[in-house]
Amino acid sequence: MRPDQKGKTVRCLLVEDDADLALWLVKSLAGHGIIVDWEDSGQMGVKRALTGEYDALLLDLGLPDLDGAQVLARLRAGGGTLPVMVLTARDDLSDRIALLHAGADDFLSKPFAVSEVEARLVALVRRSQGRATGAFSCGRLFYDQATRRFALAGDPLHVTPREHAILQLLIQRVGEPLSKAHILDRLVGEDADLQPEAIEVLIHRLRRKLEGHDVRIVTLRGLGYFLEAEDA
Amino acid sequence: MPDRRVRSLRATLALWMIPASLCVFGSSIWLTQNAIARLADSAYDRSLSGALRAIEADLSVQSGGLGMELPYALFANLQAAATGTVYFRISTDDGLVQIGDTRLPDPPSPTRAAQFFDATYLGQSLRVGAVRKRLAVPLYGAPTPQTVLIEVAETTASREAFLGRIARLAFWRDATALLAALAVLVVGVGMALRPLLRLRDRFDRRAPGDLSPLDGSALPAEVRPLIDSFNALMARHADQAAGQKRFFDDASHQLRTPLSVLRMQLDYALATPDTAEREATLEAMRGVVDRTARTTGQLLALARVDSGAVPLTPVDLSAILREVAFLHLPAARRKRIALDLDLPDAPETLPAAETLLYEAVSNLLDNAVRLSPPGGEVTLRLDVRPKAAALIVSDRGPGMTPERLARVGERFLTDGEGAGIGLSLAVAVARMHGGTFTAANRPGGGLEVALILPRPPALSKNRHMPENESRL
Repeated sequence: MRPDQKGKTVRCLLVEDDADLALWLVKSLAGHGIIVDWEDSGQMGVKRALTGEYDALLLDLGLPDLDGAQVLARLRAGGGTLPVMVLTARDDLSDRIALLHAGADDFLSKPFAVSEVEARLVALVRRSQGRATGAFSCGRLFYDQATRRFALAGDPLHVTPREHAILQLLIQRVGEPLSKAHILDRLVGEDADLQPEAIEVLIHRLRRKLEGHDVRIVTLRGLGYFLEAEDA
Repeated sequence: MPDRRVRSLRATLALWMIPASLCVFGSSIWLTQNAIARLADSAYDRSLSGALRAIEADLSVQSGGLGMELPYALFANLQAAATGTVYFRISTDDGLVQIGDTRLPDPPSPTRAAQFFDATYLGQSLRVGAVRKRLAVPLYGAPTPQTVLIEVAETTASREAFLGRIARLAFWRDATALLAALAVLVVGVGMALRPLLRLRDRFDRRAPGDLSPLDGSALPAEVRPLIDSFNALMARHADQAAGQKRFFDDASHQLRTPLSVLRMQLDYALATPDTAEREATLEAMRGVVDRTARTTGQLLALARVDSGAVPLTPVDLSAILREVAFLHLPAARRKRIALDLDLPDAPETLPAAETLLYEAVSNLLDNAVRLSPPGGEVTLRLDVRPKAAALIVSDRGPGMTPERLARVGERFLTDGEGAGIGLSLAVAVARMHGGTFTAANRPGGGLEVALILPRPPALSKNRHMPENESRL
């Protein structure tokens, strides 16, 4: 089993009624260093997810006793904050949006590649643990929310307050594009005279500081900026 | 209140025809009675008036008194014809002369002209004829000549009996005619409805899957449009059924082929003693599974388009494109593809089948990302034109041969790269929205495909200006 960078294995609860799928998913994820416990009933699944033993919940939508939305609702009503990844064979867009509103964190359509489940699950757990512990990373770039310090390849990375604000947003949402409008929105509270053009300048400066390392800021027109590790 | 729509034709006809016939019947009887009574009166009154004239001609005043000779022969005739009693009275206006049945009532009008009226005398109904005449000389020393009133009356029993006979005759004649008409009507309706009943039998005998048109040539002209509509409906169903059959044929091919490939790969991998060969085989299986998974999704989406009954709801096209871009971003980034999203400032909302549109664009973007070289660029663009909105996916991949371009949209055209069904789906989704699908090679290499949806006229104008969203 491969520990993540904090030396802790990811424990995950799978609520799925198809025994074959469950068996092979448990086996496959174990090969990726993720411990998966299997539960085939929605009601029991909610109970076990609420014990606090798990880092994430993998939830199948087509359960015989409760549907996915009900499981989500009971979990969130019971105070469960663990990230939930929904596995679905349906491809109805409005269903997905409704479930996102109901508190799902991510979706995977069946059939899926185990590597995809693993990557997204680890990202989910890391993000939720990052939110919990205040430690975020992308490639060799680390951020500790408690000390408000960035480190790149083991060395402290010095950034201006504005650069700090942007890089913090980006590292908290690795791989998720943030539009300029979104960044402005988040920063304007702290920095009222920030102009849209200034963001481009700040990104440019940050890029120069990250140059030569395994992490970079990608710009996609229409989508936004996001952090990407070289080997991702 | 009975529901008008579920009433049978027979009941509707009966409801209209029976009261109407009874009305006509009643008024006909009433009119006949009246006419006969008038005719009878005038006939009877003519014989009364004959008697009046005979008496009047026989009046004499030569004797200084009033003299007359009763026309007995006439009375006898009258009596015989009337089979009743005949009365008469002759009186002067001063009451000095009273001859005959002196208690016959006076006529209602003081006129001198002949008049006829009904009266009662000695408990019998009478028909009375009366005429007044001024005498040539005064009688009994009166200063002026008197007016003499002549009345002849007969009992009406025979006349009533006659009228009754006529009325009964008229009643039975009309009733017979009415019943005959209703009977003819019932038979006629039955005859008219017979083709419909035969039609019903043909419907009943139809096999569940029989979508052939009905032959309406033997049916009444009124029913023909119904048959035409029915046939048009059947034709639509037949089209749909043919499409579905084609779909199932193609779908079984598309799904069974990779399953047989997988089965072979599996058997081969288990049988081969060479570890490296086994691993290579398993690796190859992964690709087949991925392709099958994609094909399944596409087939399901196509089946949904083919089912035809997909509701259209207002869909924000920019939101769809953004969703699709986010979905394929990880795959694109694994190949270091620059995935750009080019959206207009104003949101564009069209009535569309959201999930299918999403699936179609997702397939197009999936094709573009898979066929792009690593580090290439793929653009997802929304181009809003006055009458249409185009969802455009362009890449710098290999593009298509002219032959392939000419056959874009042919269903399940396999091209080795698995882009076929995705394109068919895009074509089908465009068509179900009343739009079009185009594909063209780009100058400088790559392919540009566009799913073009018509904009409803009401939407061509900007309904509301959104706040400008900053583009990156």
